[in-house]
Amino acid sequence: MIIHCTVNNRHMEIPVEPWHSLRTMLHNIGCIAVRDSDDGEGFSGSDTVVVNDVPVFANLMLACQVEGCVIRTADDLSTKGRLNYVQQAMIDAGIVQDGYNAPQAALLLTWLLEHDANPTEEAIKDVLSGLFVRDTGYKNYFLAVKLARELRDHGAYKSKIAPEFRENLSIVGKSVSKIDGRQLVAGWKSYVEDRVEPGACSLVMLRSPYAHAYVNEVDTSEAENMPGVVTIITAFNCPDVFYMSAGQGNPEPSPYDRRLFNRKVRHVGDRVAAIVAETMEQALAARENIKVSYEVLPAIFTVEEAMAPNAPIIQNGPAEYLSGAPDGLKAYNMNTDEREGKVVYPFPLHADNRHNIAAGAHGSIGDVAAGFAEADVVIERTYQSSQVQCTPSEPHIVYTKIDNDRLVVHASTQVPFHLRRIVAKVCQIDENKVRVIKERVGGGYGSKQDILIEDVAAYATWVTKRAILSRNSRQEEFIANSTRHPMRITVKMGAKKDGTLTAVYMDVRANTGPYGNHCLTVPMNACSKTLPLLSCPNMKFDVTTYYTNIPPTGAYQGYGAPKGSYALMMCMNEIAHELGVDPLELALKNKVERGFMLEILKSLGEGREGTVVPVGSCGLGTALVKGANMIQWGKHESCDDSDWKIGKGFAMIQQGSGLPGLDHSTCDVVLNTDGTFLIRSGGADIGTGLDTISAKCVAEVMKVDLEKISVVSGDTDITLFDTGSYASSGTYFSGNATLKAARDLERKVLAEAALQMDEDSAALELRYPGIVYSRTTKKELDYAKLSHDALTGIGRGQLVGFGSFVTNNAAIPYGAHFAQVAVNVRTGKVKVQKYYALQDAGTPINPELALCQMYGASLKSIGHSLYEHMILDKNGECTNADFTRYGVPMISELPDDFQAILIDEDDEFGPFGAKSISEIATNGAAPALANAIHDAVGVWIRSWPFTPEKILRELGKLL
Amino acid sequence: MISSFTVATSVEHALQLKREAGSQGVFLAGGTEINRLGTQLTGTIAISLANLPIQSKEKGKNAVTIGTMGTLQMIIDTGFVPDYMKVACRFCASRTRRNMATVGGNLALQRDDSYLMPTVVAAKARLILATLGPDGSIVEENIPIREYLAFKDHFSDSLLLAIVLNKPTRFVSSKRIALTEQSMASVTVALGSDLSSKEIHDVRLCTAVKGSGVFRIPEIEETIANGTYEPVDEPVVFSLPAVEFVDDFTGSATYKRYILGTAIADLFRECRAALGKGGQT
Repeated sequence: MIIHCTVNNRHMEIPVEPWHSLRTMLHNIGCIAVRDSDDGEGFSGSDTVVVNDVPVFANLMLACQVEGCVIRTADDLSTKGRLNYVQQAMIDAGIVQDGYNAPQAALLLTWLLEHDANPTEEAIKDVLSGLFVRDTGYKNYFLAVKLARELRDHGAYKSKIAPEFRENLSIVGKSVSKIDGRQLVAGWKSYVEDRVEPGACSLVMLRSPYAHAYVNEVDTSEAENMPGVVTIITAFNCPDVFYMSAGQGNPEPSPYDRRLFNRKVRHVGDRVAAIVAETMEQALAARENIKVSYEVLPAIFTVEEAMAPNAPIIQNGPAEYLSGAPDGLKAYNMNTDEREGKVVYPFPLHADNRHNIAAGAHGSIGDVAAGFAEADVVIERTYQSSQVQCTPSEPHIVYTKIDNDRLVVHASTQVPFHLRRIVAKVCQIDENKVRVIKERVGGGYGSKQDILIEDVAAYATWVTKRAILSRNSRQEEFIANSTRHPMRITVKMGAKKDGTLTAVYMDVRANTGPYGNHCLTVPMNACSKTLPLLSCPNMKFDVTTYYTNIPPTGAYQGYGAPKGSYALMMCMNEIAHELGVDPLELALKNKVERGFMLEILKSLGEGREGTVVPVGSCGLGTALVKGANMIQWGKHESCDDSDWKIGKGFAMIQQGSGLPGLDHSTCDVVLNTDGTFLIRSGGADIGTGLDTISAKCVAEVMKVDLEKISVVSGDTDITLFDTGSYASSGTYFSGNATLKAARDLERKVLAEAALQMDEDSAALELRYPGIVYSRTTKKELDYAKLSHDALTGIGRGQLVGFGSFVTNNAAIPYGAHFAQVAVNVRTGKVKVQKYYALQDAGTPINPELALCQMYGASLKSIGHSLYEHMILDKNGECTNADFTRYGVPMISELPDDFQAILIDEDDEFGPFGAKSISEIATNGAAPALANAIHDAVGVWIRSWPFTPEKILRELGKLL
Repeated sequence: MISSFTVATSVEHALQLKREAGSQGVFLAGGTEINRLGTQLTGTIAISLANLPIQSKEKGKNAVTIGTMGTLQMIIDTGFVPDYMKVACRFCASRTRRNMATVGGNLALQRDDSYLMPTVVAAKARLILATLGPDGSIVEENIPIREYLAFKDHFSDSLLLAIVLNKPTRFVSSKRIALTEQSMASVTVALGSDLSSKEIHDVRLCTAVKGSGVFRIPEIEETIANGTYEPVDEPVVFSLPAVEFVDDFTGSATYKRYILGTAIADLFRECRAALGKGGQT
């Protein structure tokens, strides 16, 4: 049928099918800003459009319903490349980061301002209530509206956007428009889905209905003969290559315990077959006709079950070692079933796969037994964290194709170079045959550090030579993605009467689920990003990770730190109460300070001995004192309604800035022929502004405007190696590499100018807006002429700065988060009244983006603490595998008073003094909220999430 | 999946189309359920109600009439609609969804996390609906909403036309208990009462409990009306022997039972406080 309607001021006649959604119709006519992140759940708002002046979800309307309607999409907000005032204000407020839902936010806010010139905060919350924002925590949307009004009414901003840092620097530490903001907020082509070409095949996955079973047979004969089917890949025709999905440094600290498809499925949703067909419909139809013979096995879901004698063994194949094989391996490997596959260890991980132990780590400093012996009080408590989902707005998606007889992978990834390595391994080809192009990433949060769909799609393309699109459904995002490892952490702590800690012991038991990706590093972070906060001389940890049949786990912003922080900070609060000491006083007494030697790091390397370093720049004390003042620590608050009790809590936090001794970043900066610059950074900007950091570093050194600089990043053909964006490495590692490249180019420019100007280079300096100035002769040479003359055929060639950054120096960010909650003693409901995140990020290169990341990570971890939890039934099936059932925080869950504060510290190792900012902000909410709940109602909530039901149980209200 | 789409031109036309389509026919109001991922509706023939004159809101001397094609947001934006109805519409926390979801759609679904049904039952609303008689003529009925709730299957081929709030001054208050504002509710409950005689009488108590359905609680209605209801607190052991509460992702059966009891106690206190203020909510 034909629909007559007006779309973005154009009268159109559009052919549709009765089942087409409005989104399908609009997408088909080129409105690419109308995206989809919930498969038509009507939750997240990526599909928001305005029909007859009313915002609606385009996925929830049939195309047929818009006959005669006037439709407006976000694609129409900018005119010939000129953004509207709302879009510009959004960029400048720092809220356009992963950007996947930014066009829809711009559409909604534009609509709001057209109907209400000066909306209240409540009106803004109302209009954004149907929009899911995971990256920036909503807070600065209010600032964006304020800025938009100022731009509209005055043509310029009156309000200060963010604090500024470093008066001696011109652009670093100042708020400027994020360089990829325009394309993201306008909804221009940016993401993998925007690169798919006509004729691309679709890949869908047949997944296991069982948590644990052998796959005895997969009959694809009928499906293979169905129309459009290109290939079907199963355990019986895939390469016999064992690898793992974690994008980590090589050799990886994870076992190779999977193939593309295995003879054994290990969780509900595990891969059984990939079906590639010319259309999605054909692939789905073929999937229905695949017959699988399973031999169902008993399943286990908890650490306790995995530890039990005679527990079902999840990875019961033989162990192989690429290095450091233990004695007795032959005996260890006896009596295995070939359907189990095998487990290959790049190096020993203290694993025992035949007893469900995926990895282990152990270490200590001082004499813990003696420390406990000298303590006046010793307590031991166990804390449990749950399995939570990253929920990036853009689901995992990849587009693979052959170009020039090479494999090209358009990926939404945090780790382009690791992805290239793993894909090459799976396809059994050399890395030079693979090109990975990292597109804009619509949210990663760690989950896109794992190679979850790219491996299968790439292999399918390599063997069929067909272009293939593979995209997870939202349900697949829950059941076949990386999630936070559930952990059971026991903390034993001893202290003297005055609050001095004498000994700390952490026993971490982590649940890695079916496969061992990140099974060492994530659980280790529960210790390595928490114990170094303390100056206690006697500390010990044991980390053990177990295989089970829960949905896969992996990297998630913070790695294991949020869970370790929850346990350690809770226990500190508990011992303070045992001692009768103010928890703040106890924290101040036992925290580290600049210069303290972090001996504990020696045993906390990721698979090898760590480097002991002193505490460097450290805003921990300032954050504690300032946060305490802000929240009026020690002042008891009460509520008129006696059902509501108010309490306060806090937590000290830290993270890292990449992995010193492991990470590596490289970059080059090219001086173009007209005097502009091209940065080629191996770093992977996942929306957090790394490309902007790169551009700012070059602008600062070369003394030019940002407009003179372009950035290409994360393309393995064009840029040089970088380990990728994880472990908070971007600013510190990739940024330092860019800074080194810029300084290298500065030297080369001065040297070239000295030749061209016939001057001593020592007398030359770079000056704004891009000239070489002679202090001796007062002569100037602009970059355009310099570059042109270097490239005239008689010059000395193109000037390229190169930077390679590795280090053993740590740039540790510190902070403290404070919370005030109100708890209803009759309903168990928790309201977050105040949440203050105070963090030391060194020099925040992009302060407005840094603040928004603090808001985003804080709200995300508030969600993990209060609401989010993947719930499995007795068969291991996730019963809340969509947004609505799962329960992510939306704008309605914002704390009443939500503030992010940047503590000013200048780091000696970071680029211009910068440290990481975002990941650390996930570490504070759980302990701060749990401690505040205790302060309010006197119960310790020792497991995530702190639901009303759990609080009621602790209060003795539920029998 | 929808395979056919027709716009009904009149109520009669809509009902005829539904009769012709049989079990495959489905009235398409706002679309937030039919087109939603995970919908339980299985019809393939969509009958659009968009052009039917059942969107209006009218205020009479003693009644407010709301056309069932009115969206939840339209209700909120209409000044004369009683506040309790607006509160119930706001239980749908997403403005964008409220712009689409209709009163009729929400009532017809009778979901166990229904936004509106507990409130309209508590309000003693009446429902105007149309059915096609055996001879093809339209039969219009005006029934108490409790009848629709009790005999839903009987009205499966009917088209809801309007809801009538006969006594907009009636005390009605409701609560929705969910983990986040947009999570599915474990319990939604509403209490209604006539306070005009300076006493609590004509009580209606209706709840939607996830996994258990939508139902009235006559035994508590009775105790509230006769003055014997005693809200119990510490701890509440809420007894509803006829109702099976189930464990699910919104909470355990024990929790739902407790929180329903607590919510009823709170609503009762509100009601009593309103009585003290002369019936003002």
